[in-house]
Formats: sequence, C-alpha cells, structure tokens
Amino acid sequence: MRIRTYGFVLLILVAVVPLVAFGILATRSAGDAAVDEVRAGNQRLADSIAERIEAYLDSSRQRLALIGAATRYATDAPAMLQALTVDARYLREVVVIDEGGELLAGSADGPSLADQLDQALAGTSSWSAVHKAPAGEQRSFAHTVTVVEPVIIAGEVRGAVAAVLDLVDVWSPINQARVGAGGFVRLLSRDGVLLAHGHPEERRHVFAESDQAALLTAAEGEDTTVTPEGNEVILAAAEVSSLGWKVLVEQSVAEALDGVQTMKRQLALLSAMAVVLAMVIAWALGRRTVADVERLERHTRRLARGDLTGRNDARPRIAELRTLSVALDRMAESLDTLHREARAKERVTTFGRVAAGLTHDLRQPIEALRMSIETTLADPDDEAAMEIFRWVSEHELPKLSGYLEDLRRLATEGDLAVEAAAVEPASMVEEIASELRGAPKWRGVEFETSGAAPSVRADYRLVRRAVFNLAANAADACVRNRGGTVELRVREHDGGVMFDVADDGGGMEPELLIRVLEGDFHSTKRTSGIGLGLGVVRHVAEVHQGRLMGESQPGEGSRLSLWLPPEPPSQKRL
Amino acid sequence: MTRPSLAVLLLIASCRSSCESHSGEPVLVRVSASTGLDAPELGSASGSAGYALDLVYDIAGELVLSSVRDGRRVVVELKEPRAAELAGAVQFRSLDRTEVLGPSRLAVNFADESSAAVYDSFDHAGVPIGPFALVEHDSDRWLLERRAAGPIDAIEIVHTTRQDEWRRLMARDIDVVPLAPAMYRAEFAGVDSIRVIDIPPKGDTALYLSVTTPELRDPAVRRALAAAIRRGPLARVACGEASCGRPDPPEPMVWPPLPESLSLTFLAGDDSFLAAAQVLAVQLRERGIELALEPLPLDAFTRRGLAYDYQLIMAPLGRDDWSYRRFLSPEHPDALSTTGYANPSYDAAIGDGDFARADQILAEDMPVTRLHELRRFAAVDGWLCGEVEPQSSSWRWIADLEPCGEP
Repeated sequence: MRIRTYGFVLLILVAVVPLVAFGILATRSAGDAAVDEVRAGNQRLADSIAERIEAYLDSSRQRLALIGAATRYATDAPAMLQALTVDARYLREVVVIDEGGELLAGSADGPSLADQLDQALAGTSSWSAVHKAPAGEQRSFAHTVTVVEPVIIAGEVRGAVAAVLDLVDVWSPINQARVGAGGFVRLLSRDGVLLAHGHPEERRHVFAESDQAALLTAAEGEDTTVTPEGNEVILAAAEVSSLGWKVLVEQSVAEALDGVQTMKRQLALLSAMAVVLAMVIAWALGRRTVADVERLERHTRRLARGDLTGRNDARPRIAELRTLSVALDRMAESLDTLHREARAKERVTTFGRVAAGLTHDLRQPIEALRMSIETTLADPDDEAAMEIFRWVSEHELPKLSGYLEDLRRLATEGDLAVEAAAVEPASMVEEIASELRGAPKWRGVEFETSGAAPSVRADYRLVRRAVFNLAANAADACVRNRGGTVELRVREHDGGVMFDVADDGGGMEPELLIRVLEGDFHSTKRTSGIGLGLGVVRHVAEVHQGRLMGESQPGEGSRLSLWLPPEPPSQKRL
Repeated sequence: MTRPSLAVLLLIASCRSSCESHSGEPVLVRVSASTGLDAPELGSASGSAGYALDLVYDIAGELVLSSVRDGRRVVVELKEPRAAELAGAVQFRSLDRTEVLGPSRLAVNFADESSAAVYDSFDHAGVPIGPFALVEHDSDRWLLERRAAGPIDAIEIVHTTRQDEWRRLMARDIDVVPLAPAMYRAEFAGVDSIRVIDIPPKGDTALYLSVTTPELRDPAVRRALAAAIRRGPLARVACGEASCGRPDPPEPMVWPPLPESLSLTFLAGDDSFLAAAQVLAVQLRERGIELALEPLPLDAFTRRGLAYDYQLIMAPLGRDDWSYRRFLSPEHPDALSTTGYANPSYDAAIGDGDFARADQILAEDMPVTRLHELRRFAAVDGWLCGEVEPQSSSWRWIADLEPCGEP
C-alpha cells in the first residue's frame, strides 16, 4: 500500500468516519428532539387556545349575565334589553325572566327555558349541545348553542337570561390563532361538528356537510393524519372543558418538520464542512511528509538499481526521515566507494585471470615448441622429428603470436574486447581435434568429432581457446589414464550452441567437479592438471553470457559442456 | 304566471336541447334572494324580484323611435315593424291593454297615470327579450333558462335570509349573493375562492318622515327628530363602520316637543335595516320617543310605502337627479312620490334644475333624512368568472358570468 493510500485510509478512518458517524447520530437525535419539540409546542398551543376559547365563552356568558342583570332591574326591561343587545350581533332571541319564571323582556318565541330553568334558578349556568340545523332546503345554516345564565344580584338568584348564541361568535379567537407559517386551528363540537377553522378556505366547510368525526378519533391517537381537506398534518388536541369541544391544532407535516429538516441539513453541512476541513488540514500538513517519503522511496529505488551517485538534496522535516535520508546518502557513498574498489579489484582480478589464462595458454605452444626443438636437435636427421617441428612451427607459433598480442593489448588497453563474428561450431571442433591429434603430448589419445549446430556470433579466438582447453584437459585425463578417447561434439541447444567435450579418462569425484565448475579451485599441475585453463573457459562463458556445465562418473569419465547463446552481449569487456 | 309568446317558448325548447356547459353538463347558477320572489310581473315586482326580472326583460329603448304620453296612454313609435310582437309581450304594472296602431306603432294603456309615467320613464321597458326566460316560479324559488346559447344555461333563484345567504355561499349551497350588506363583508376575508365585488354606492339608507301623520306634521318636529339621530354609531352597527354614516344635521336651537311614540317601518329580513332600526329606537328613546319597530315583508312594505301608510319608514334613497322626483308634489307630472310631500317651491326648484335650492328646501321641510351610505357588495363563488359590474338595482350582470371551474 502506498503512503498516499495509507494516509488517505488513515484520514478516512480517523477523521471522516467519526465525523460522519457523529453527524448522522447528532442529526437523528436532534431531529427526533425537534419533532418532539414541535409536537410539544403544538400541544401547548392547543392547550392555550382551548383556554382562550374557554375564556371567550366565559366572557360571553358573563356578558349575557350582565345583560340579564341590567334588564332584570331596569324600569323598562324591553328597552334595556334592546339597548344592550343591539351590538351583540351573534346573540339572538335573548329573553330575561324573573325568579318566578315570568318573562320580563324578549320574545316569547325565544329559546325555551323549560329544561334549564331549574338549573338556572338554582344558580347554575348551562350550555346546550351544538344545534346544527338538519339538512334540507330550508334549514338555517347557523350552528348555535342555547345559553342560560342565572341573574344573580346581591348574592341571590333573581332571574335568568337565555339566548341563542350564533357560533360564528367564536370564530374570532380561532381565526387569530396561527400555527407556524401555514398551520391553523380547528374547533370541533363534541359530536365532531366543525364549528370554526382558522383557514379561510377551510372555514367554508363549517356550513357544509363535513364529516369531522374521523378527525376527532385521529386526534386521540395518531401523530399525523390526513384532514378531510386532504392535507397531511400533525395534530395536537385540547379540550374546552366546559363544553367538551375539541381544539385541534394542525400543522402540515412538511412545515412542521421543515425546521427539523433545515436543522438536519445544517448539521449535515457542518459535518461535511468538518470533514472537508479535516481533509484540507491533513493534506496541508501531510503532503510535505508524504512527498519526503516518496522522495526517499525514489532515492532508495535508484540506489537499488545500482545508481549510487544520486543524493537527497532536500532534507525531510520529520527528524526520523531526515536521519534516514542522511543515512541513505552515507550508505550510498560507502557503497559507491566499495563498488569502485570492487570494480578496480575485479579489473585487476580479471586482468590477472586473463593474464593467467593467457599464461596457461602460452605454456602449451611454448612446451610444444620446446619439445619439438629438443627432439630435432637431438637427431637433426630424424624426419619424424622434423615433421613434428614443422607442424609445431605451423600451428603453435601463430598461436603463440596471438597470445602475445592479447597480452600486449591487455597490458596497454586494460582489457580485451569481445570481437564477435560468425563461428561455425562444427568446423571449429574439427580444427581443434586436428590440432590435438598432431600434438605429440597427446599421442595415444583418440580425438573424435561429431554433431552439427548453426553458427553463432562469438569471439572466435576466445571460444576456440575455451573449447581447446576443455579438450586439452580431457586429453590430459586420458593420458593419465594411459589412453582413452576424447569426443568433441557440437549441438544446437536452447537457441545457441553446446560444445560437449567428453572423455573416458577416469572421471573425477563430485566434489572436485563442483569446484571445477564453480571456479573455486586452485590446482597445480601436480594435483590434477585442471587449473587456469578452465578459468579461461569460465571467463569465456561469462563474457559471452554462456554457461559451463559438467558431469563426471568417477572411474569412468567426464563430460564438460560449454554453452553459448546465439549472440553475445553488446560489447562485453573482459 | 307570465305570458310567454310562442317565440319565447320555442327559444326555451331549443335552448334546453342545445345549451351545454363546457364540461357537457348544463351549467346551473344558484342565486340567493333575501327579499321575496312574489309578483314576477315587471312593474309590480320589487326587491329581488325586480332585480331578477332584468334578466328576463330587456330595456326596449333601442327599439323605440319616439313616444308620447297622454294621461294614461303612451303611444310608441318603433324603429322596426314589430308592433304586433311587442304588443303581446309588454309586461308592466297596472297594464290595461295594448293596441296595435300600425306595423311600427302601438299604444300602451295603463290603469293610472302614475303607471303610465313610470313606464314612460323606464324607456318603455317591459319586453321579455332578455337573456333568460322565467320558466318556473313560486314565492321561494324561480327558475330561469337561457333563451339562446351562452355560458350559463339556467339560473335558480332561491329565497333565503340575509343571515343565511352568506353562509350558504360559504357552504357552496349557492353560487351568487348578488346584493349583501357591508356588515357581512368581513366574513369573506381571506376566502380566495369567493370573489367579493363591491357595488358602487349610489344611495343611502334614509329615514322618510311622514308629512301627513299628525305627530310629524310640524317640520320643526321632523328636523328635531333628524337631529336626534347620531349617524356615526348607527352606521357602525348597520354597515360595519362609522365612516359610512351621513353627516348629522345641526341641532335645533330650541327643541320642540317630540312625540312620545312613533312607529318605524322597515323591510324585514335585512340585518342592516334591523340593526339601524334598533339603534334608532335606542337613540330616540333617549329623547323620550318610544319607537315601535315594524318589520314588514317586501310586498307589504311596498304597499304601505306607496300608500304613505307610515310614520317613519326606512328605505333606500338614491343620490341621482331621478331621486328628487320622489318629493315632487303627487300631482306633478313627473312625480314618483312615495311620501305625499308637496311643496310648490320645491317643484319649482326642480323644474328650474336648481338642486341646491331643492336640497335646502328639503332640509327645511325634512320629509327625509339620510342615515348612512348604502354599501352593498356581491359575492360570487370562484368557479364563476367574467368581468362583471354588479348593480344595486339590477341582476342583469349575472348573465355575464361564465364557468371557469367545476361547481
């Protein structure tokens, strides 16, 4: 996981998730609390309006009582009654009787007091049920109640006053009540008759056949309901205790919860802003550190690729990262120094190895030349010796010259370039076998060639020396084993060419084979005869990016193989 | 029962078969009438009936070239040769008979000169070629059907009370309250689905004082009575605001003896008249006058008024020149007397067109005193649209309503 991703995930887990969770919980909790507050507020309003209605009716009742009292003791009761009721538009059919039930003022066709007379004369006021005229063409459209009040003067009941109250009279306190921006109040009788409604349009239903009973039931239990007019509202109900009327405060659900929704939106916005702020702060504070880490990571990769020259110019602000940066630079410097030293050593080693290889290779033609000269000097007339001398001169002297040239180049230029050219494996091994057959050293050893392989591009002289050395070692083993056969075979393998050199010269122990193949072997001629020659073979394999392999059967023989790719690496230096 | 001509009957029949509302159903508009619907004959109808008949009868003035009245006979020259058609269709109060004098000439004979004078002053109204035809009627209900295709197919006029008509409109039981007193205007406040149209006031509620009854024969008494009335408080009760009260006349320097009792006649069923009457009773009682209130139904009210059979009567009084003719001497050829008042000086002033002087004379003689501006409004349910101008004395504007929603 990259540090940016990690940082982002960390930010999400540490800042965003907690803030969002808080926002959700807070919003939900606040929302619930707000809804409860809305309901509680509406309930308080309903209670308040019910009290107001109660007070209003009470004032109407008191006013009627005053009218009754004034009329009762007026010298001209009818005139008094008329004067006091002119302005009372909604008080109709007012009658005043004395304590004996005799009519003092008002129409004899007024409301009957028969049912309420005893109550009134006993000092108790009474209200009838709401009288809603029956349906029909000629009905009166007014909802009325009959009010009877005792006339109490100087502490005793001296009569009664009755009137029909047109319930349009109670519209005023209902019309004035407002619930929020668009809510209204509804007044229902005990039987569900709509008496008043705060909304002017809904008020039209007061005089129409409108079933409000369901609303009464809804007000008892449900939190929200749909009104007969089709609006979904939150209801709160309170009772006008003296008459059992119901005051319903209704506020549309949308409006009631608008404040809640607004609060939720604000909370959500605040949470979102907090999240954004956290991310901005985290980004502002963290980007430098992340950049430092990434810079360190790039620098480390560069070091890993082997580029030890780069250095961290910009130091991180974080102390640990700064220490790491300094340490990386020092490590790079040390590594660079070591690398240069190693390269120098390697160059020396390579120089030495190549020189050693050349020295090894030089020995053979020099030895052959020496033997040939000695033989010839011993018997100048020996034709066979003279033949050998001529062969050695033709074959070994040129090789000697080539080796000396390589040594010169190594000494002057410091290395030998791989001079790639097309190499025909089969002809090469045939040439080598022919040379080996002519070498007096290996008389008694059979040299065979076989196989075919496509040409490859390689340094001819190096490859020839390597294959020659393999064959020479194999021949030496046969000589030590008092004869044998060395087989040189070529074959195509893995896109390149495999030079197999096998002998039946007795083989070697596995441990020795391993050491031979891995190069950790310093032998003398006295021990096995395998030494620097194989070093040349390993080196040739290395510079061509080939491989040296081998197998051996102790008591039997060995086979060493040099594999070369079809193309050498570009300008491999020794 | 009216005497619709064959042509009218055919028109009604064709209307019934072809008149449809925009939704396919016949459009019926229900209208309230707070006064009685008796006497559907033009010339004898008054109150709601008279206003409604404007839907039935057209003013035929445009048909008349000229007319000459001779006593109880009016000879009319027509612009078109329709004398025979109109002779059979004329409807008017106290109509005696019609005579066809020629293709474009007819004579209309009345039972009395007054009716003849009224007919002549109405521009020869009385031709039932209005937009609607009266097809059914009784004292509580009229049914009018459109004669030709139009937005409203039928109008049903139902008798109701002032107290109930605004409630019935709220309840959608009726669609139009054509004439309601200002005291009910506040009930429609905020009700957007009801269109309230104020009717330009053209007159006042006035108190006519009988000049013939012994108690009021003395103009000083009449002036004192008029001065005893406080019009501001009366207006607040009767029309809802003190501003509609007319100015109080000056109080007399010396109050003459006032009668101990008087009767006040007024039209029953109108809350504003009742309220005004009750206030008058209270105010006059303070002056020692016991006022007996006599609310009467329209026909009786009209009859008593025309017969000068009252002491005090409360009725509308216009402010136009035509209203001055009410106080011309009864025998004056242009008189429309409903008071029995007669003063040659007044007649002369009117004859000279000197209305200021006429007002002065009236203020001295006090056959009438204005109480408060007669403010009325019309209320129309929102499903009826149309640019209309309601009038206080005509319901012809109802014909211009058109449905723009569902009732």
